[in-house]
Amino acid sequence: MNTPTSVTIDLTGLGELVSELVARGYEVYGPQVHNGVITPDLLRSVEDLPVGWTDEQEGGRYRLVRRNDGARFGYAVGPQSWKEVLHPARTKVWSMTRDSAGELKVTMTEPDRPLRAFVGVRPCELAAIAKQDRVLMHGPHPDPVYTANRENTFVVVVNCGEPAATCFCPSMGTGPKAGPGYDLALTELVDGSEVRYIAEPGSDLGAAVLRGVPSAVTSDAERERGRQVIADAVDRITRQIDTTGIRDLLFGNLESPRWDQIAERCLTCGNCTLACPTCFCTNMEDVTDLSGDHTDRWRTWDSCFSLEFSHMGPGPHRASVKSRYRQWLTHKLGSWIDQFDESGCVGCGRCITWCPVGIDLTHELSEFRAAPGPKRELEGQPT
Amino acid sequence: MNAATATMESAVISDLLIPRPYRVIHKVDEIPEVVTLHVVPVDGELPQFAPAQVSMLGAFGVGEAAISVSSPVSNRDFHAYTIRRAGPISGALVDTPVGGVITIRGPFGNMWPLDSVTTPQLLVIGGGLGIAPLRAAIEAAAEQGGPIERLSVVYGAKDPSSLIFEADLDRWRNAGVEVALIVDEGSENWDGAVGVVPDLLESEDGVELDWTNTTAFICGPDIMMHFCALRLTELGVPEGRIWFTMERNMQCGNALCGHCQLGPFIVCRDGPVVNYQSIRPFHHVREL
Repeated sequence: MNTPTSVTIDLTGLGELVSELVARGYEVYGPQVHNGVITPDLLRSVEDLPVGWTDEQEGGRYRLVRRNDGARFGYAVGPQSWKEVLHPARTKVWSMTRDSAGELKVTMTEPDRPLRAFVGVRPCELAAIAKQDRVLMHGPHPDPVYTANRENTFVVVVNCGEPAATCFCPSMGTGPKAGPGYDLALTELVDGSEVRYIAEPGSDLGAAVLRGVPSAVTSDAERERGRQVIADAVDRITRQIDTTGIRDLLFGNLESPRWDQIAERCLTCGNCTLACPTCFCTNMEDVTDLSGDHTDRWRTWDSCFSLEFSHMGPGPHRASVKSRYRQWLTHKLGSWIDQFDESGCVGCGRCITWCPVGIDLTHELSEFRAAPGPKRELEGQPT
Repeated sequence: MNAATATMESAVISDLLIPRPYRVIHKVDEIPEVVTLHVVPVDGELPQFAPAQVSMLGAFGVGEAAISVSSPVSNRDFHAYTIRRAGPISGALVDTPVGGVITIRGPFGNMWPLDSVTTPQLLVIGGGLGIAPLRAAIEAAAEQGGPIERLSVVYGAKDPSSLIFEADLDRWRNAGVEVALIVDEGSENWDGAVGVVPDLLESEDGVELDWTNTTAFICGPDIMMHFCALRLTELGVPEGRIWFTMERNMQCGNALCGHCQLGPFIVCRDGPVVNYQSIRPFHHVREL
């Protein structure tokens, strides 16, 4: 995209960008090395960014590996996404007290409305945030916690130059170049220890922030290098899924024996749902203190792989392993389209990397496509 | 003003996420382990609802369960909820004494499409406690004029002692509603039909209708709804005129928590009432 508004900033400029965001009152988050993985966290300065590190990923495998250049964003994605910040794993919904007369008093938790800037969001993660926006903020009843967390986020996306072997974002149309929805998009140009960034604003606020950062006009040569970074990334992504008619493919195979074969490997650990940046399901838990007269309602992440997830009067509705894996995959790639008019998958590959037995949805889908099950009628959809 | 009404004014929190205290003003012991609670808000107005809508009923310190409103819409004195003791939450609700306080979020979800019934015959089929969410629909259909000329109720239960709402059944009969009952297992005092609910469709013991001019509302166990729908389509009821009300694990009631999915449906948002034509490809798939 030849936008006259794009500028080039150097490492000093990147530091100034963070300072500018801090000066505007933002808590700035960025990727950092913690516990052997690269994960988003509060950024004290650009010094915290994972310079000198990259990641190697495969089914069931993630390793941090040294790299010998100055790249600050030279890796794909870690196990934790921005979901951790926007849709926290555990939040208190309300407190309730019962007085001596048995009367109940409810106090709703009023969510904070923090000003947060996310630096280093991957294009697939930007798409994931948009999908969670659709579910949690643009449904009939917006989720108050998510909405409060999300309404003031400033997003600095970094186009992807270092995809992992588990990535398949081009299949889902989410990367390696960022689609709309960011405030600023950076493309990292690495020359040994020297690093520059092409910066493109995606919002008026992004443009205003960028004006506070020392920059140079982006040269044609830099623009071409930026395009090459993305083109190289596309070339290196080998995994893919064919999304043509994918909803009908999955719903046409609800009773395929293939689910039994997957179930022989699946441990129902739920790692895929925790690592997935779009999985949004939550559970309600009431915690009562020892007096018995005060109770708190906590909302926690839940997983469709847990037995209790589908509990009804007689017990779990999805008792078998295959039914739980089937729920996850058919929802992510099929019924999400019925429910929210788009796929629930962004192609980040986390579910492949973080599956302890390396179940690979791209492979499973190709198996379904290669051996379609008996034809079923599929006209059904919510009216 | 109590805390609940105070926080309802918050711009970000939907009313349907805020538990509101309700007082139990009366309890009806229907059958062993099944009670109907009559409740009114501790503060403020009784909300409106539509037949088939569901609320999240909360027992203090235990949790919430999804229960349908079982009173008629025209009853503006209280809401009724008919509850079976199935686990700790429903048990705590069943055990709430008169004068005790529970919390309610809702009612939410869609309604039986009473206003769009175009056939002269409406058949209402309930199985077990499935009769509870149908009661408001039966009352409304009996009261409402419009195209419905003949209203039939088919109701099945495990055994004669498991039939509920017997006073209502008599009242409906007296008001001209055709009522047919069946039980899985009879008893000494039972001279009615024994079998499964679909047995009553096109039978002397049950109902004989002009099937091509019938709309059906069905609520009960999945397996019962499945076989009723098969029987009805066999008799000539178009699939588009058969309606189910679905039950899945509901937690938030706001299409946010993901629990009540059934294939493409989010039951709390797209249901609980769904058209048979829409759900047929998914309804009979085990563990979906």
